[in-house]
Amino acid sequence: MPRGSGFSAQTLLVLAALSAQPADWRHGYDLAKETELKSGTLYPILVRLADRGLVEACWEDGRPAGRPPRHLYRLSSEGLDRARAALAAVPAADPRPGLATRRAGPRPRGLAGEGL
Amino acid sequence: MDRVTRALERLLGRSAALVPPARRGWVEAVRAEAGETPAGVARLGWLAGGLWLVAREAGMVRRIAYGLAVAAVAVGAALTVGYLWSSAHAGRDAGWDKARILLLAALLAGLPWVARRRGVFGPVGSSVAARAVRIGGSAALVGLVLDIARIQHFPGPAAGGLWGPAAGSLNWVHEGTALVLIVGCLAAVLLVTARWPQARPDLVAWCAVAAGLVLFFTVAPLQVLIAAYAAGILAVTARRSLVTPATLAISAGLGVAGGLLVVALWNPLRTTPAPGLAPRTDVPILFILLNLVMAAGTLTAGVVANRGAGDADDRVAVKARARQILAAGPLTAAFAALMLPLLRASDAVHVTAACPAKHIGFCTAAPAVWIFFLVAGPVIGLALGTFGYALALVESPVKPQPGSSSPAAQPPPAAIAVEDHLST
Repeated sequence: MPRGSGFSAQTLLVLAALSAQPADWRHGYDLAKETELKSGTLYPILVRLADRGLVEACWEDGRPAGRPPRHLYRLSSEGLDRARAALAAVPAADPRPGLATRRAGPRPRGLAGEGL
Repeated sequence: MDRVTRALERLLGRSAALVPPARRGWVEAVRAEAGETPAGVARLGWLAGGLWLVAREAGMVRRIAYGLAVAAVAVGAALTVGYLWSSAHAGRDAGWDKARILLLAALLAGLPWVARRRGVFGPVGSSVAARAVRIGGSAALVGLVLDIARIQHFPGPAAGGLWGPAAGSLNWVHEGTALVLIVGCLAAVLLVTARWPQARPDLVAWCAVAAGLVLFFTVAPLQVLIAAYAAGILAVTARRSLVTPATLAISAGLGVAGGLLVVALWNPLRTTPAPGLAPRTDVPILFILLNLVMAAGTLTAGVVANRGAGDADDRVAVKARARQILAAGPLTAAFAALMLPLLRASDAVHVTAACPAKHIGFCTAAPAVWIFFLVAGPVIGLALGTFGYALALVESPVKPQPGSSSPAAQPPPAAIAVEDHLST
């Protein structure tokens, strides 16, 4: 658990996935595959991040053929700043697979915790 | 597998109605994505995650835990009633004893219904403290019922004392008079407040308490005590209660700790002195200890309420803080008193047959002293709380409200507080 950022390890995985291509809208199953999180873990994290204004959410436009519309997510500008700062605060030798390679942006220090 | 998946998908769709409307979109999102996941175990896991999301967002985890605790208390209450029924008096008093047990069963069965109705007694507040106090208090009350019943069912003369000889026997005059007087007392309070709305509510309340005490110690049955404790627990933990979760937690915590201390120090058999206490001095010393615990609870709740209020010094904040002090006294005492069944006073009554003759006075006094604590504790706590309440209203500075006239036109803060108190 990276205490410096105040985010849980699972939340950092979600932030890392969303900040990799911050302009792109992502959907839940896509994020679940990348982060390897179960839906029961992923969605509560997305809900809390959206409540704090760090994640934007919307429904896919139109009616795609053969499947229902998707709920889409991406980081807000504030969320992107926080994500970059939090990921930068993760120790370099973090043993969790994949997280070190998903860090984005510079590494500012002295972050306030988010409690997620 | 397909049928299970479809059933789970339907369940998820229907359970979305359980979460607040603003959250339903998230549940729909999980459902919409389910089709993307590979069929089989992976899709089942995805849908199960959606149900977990519903449980979290609907606050169901807390509700389920609370429901299980309520069920446990209900089972305990049912077992208690069953025990009382099976051990009811035989002979002349059997009918009356069973009628009392049925009355108690109706009371216990009716409490959940009363507690769920929106009003003074329910529904339960959303804080953990309110739920824990309601469950813990109800469980302690079931223990109290059991202990009182065991005292009442003791057939021998050694159950003497304040409630001994008359406890299990029928006395129509006593029971009828009690009922009439209690109804009359309540009606008098209602009439006074309706006829003279300007009457000071604290004085009216104290008149009611005094009349209630006189009734209790003369004619009222112990079932009144149980009903009063039950009503108090429900009222302070209801959603509309003015008692804050912090005051509830402080009062319950200190009260339980103080009650356990009394239990640890007091020897209910009283055939030998309590550890470290001389004979004949243990009860007075423990009663003083109980009062100190009440004072500590009242003071701590006042300090915490003051800190929690921040810089708010307007009339509403001052009154809200004072109310916490008022509530903390009787609450602390009541929770300390609810620990007293752990003294196993009923056992003390039952062993009095084996009590040495020279100690018989101590042995038979145990239940009377115990019940005195149960009644007098909250009353003294209420007196302490009332004193603290009045003191807080007089001493607290009241800042002028924003937009009010110049400070020179305002009465002194203490005068505002007293006037406000009197007009409440």
